[in-house]
Amino acid sequence: MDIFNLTFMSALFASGVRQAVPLIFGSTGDCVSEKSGVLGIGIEGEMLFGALFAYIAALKTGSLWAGVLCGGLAGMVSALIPALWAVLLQQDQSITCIMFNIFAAGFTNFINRIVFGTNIANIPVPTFSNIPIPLLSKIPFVGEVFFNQSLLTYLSFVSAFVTFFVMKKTKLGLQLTSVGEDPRVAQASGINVYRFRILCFMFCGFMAGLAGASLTLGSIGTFTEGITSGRGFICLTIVILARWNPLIAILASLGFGSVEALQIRLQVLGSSLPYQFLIALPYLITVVVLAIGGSNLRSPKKLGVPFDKESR
Amino acid sequence: MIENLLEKYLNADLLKKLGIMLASVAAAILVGSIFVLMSGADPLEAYYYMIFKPFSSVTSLGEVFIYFTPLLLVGLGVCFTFHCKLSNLGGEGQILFGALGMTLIGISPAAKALGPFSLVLGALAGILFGTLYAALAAWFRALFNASEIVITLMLNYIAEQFISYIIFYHLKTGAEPQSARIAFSIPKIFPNSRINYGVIAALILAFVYYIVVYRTKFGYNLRTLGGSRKAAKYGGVSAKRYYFYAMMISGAFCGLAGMMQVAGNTGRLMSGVAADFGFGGIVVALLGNLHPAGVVIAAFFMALVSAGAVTMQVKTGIPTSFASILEALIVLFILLGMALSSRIDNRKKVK
Repeated sequence: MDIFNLTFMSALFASGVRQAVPLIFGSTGDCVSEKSGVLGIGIEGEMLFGALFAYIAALKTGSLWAGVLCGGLAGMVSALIPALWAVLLQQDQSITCIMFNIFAAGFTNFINRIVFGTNIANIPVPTFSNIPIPLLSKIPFVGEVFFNQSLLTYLSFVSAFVTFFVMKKTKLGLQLTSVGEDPRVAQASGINVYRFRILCFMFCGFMAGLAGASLTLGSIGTFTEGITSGRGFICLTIVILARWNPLIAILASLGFGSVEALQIRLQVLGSSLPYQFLIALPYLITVVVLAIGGSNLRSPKKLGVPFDKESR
Repeated sequence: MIENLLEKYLNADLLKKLGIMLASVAAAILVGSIFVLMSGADPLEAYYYMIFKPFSSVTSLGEVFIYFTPLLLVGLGVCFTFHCKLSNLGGEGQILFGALGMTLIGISPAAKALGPFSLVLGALAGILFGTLYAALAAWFRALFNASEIVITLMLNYIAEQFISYIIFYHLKTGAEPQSARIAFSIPKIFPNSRINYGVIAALILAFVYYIVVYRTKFGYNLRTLGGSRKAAKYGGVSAKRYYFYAMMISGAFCGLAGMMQVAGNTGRLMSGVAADFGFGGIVVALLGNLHPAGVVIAAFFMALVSAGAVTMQVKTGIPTSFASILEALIVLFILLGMALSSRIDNRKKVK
């Protein structure tokens, strides 16, 4: 096919990078939360919170950055619910998070209806515009794909790099690993495991909120009900695939983002495949990836196990 | 004999659990009224339409039972997986495939001739489809050790698109993307209400669930596995095999719920036929504390909330998504209550 020329490919992958931004934010947050031993299944709900409140704030203040900040904060505050239940009350993490996700879906739909009424389409806000980086954006292909993006996109890459650096090169990162691998030893060495895990979870919530904000303010410009459509769960898969490493998670996110970009493009081009198969493509790939890359993993030892400092 | 029974079921533990359940429902309703106030409605009026209005006529009570049957079935289904500490979050997908099974039988040329028997065949097809789709998730877990949580969630999205494809390209009749009407629906019990005989089938299955889980070796092994994987291993229970069984039984119940949706409610395959019952069933199972009687009561309560939410939206303008807020709050409060009560017990023991 002659449509797959260089211009098409660079446009495709540039769009893939844009689609990857929520996944990069989300998986970076989830890396930290899971390293500390708390499953990040609630990330889907936190993303919804972030998406809605980022949109509302951007619409009311007229500032996209106020929207991004609000989205992050909304995600962080909402993450307190699963954090409280899963860490402090030591309840089953998956059930707690699933309930939180149901709550988040109900809550965001509810607020959306209350604020905007039952109109079918919300008023769109302008999305982030592309800012080419001098020199770098002039590199053929790579420049077009990676260095002619929005500030939000650059921010997602920077946050993943910083998180990676903190995780691998600082004392804080060592403490994080110890809390996830053996909370008892961590507690004995003077770390308050509960506080540490809750703070990690709130960081994850903040990143998930940014992920949600990048959905509404980065590409679509408005909030629709259930806008995340499983992206939070795809983040979980990315984290497993990346073996809890934010840098590898960037690569995996770019992969999933490109698939998403490809399926959107094929829909627009009028592919002979039914569009439902295209929409299902990222989910199908997630299942396959989990099957191939999900086994034999070195997950944090106490991942998903509530910590009780009084138990033996 | 009766004394024994009373002693067994009215022990302090059960009363305490019951207390936690009721307090959680009350707390959720209380917190929920904040949301009602936010939407500018009167909480008392809103809850009147949600919880009391459905009892005012046979017709409106019938609507509650339209929700009750699938919620009870899915609730019972996920109980099997919860008993062995597994989560079947794939109810939505399994319901959709169950609905597809019933539809394929119901719209086939033979269905007219078969009459009521087409429902039996449809139920079998629904159960088969639901079971197979759940088996797929179980297979991924058994073979690749992949987390059943993410797999079942992903399979939901895939099922949704697959059903959408089927009704767009293969079963479409007329302008709307939906299948033709099935030849024979589940008969109604009363002429002026939508309540149908599916309710009775679901209640019988609740009894069957009780027998299987609490009175058979299979149920005993399943619960042992949930209590301690090690103990089950020493008892000669193959964890892998029981996970498979639990998932498949769970899928069978969800498939049947999908069949009930088509044969007792919508009459045809359409998008949204699963209606979030896959997740509602999880709430039902947890609220009912995995006990058959509890699950029946919980399913009725959840059905009341779901059906009432529709009336509430019409009368007071509160969005129906209020129902899912309430559902989630109830379970979160139950977990809170359980955690606090076990903490108080521990403190007593130490003293």
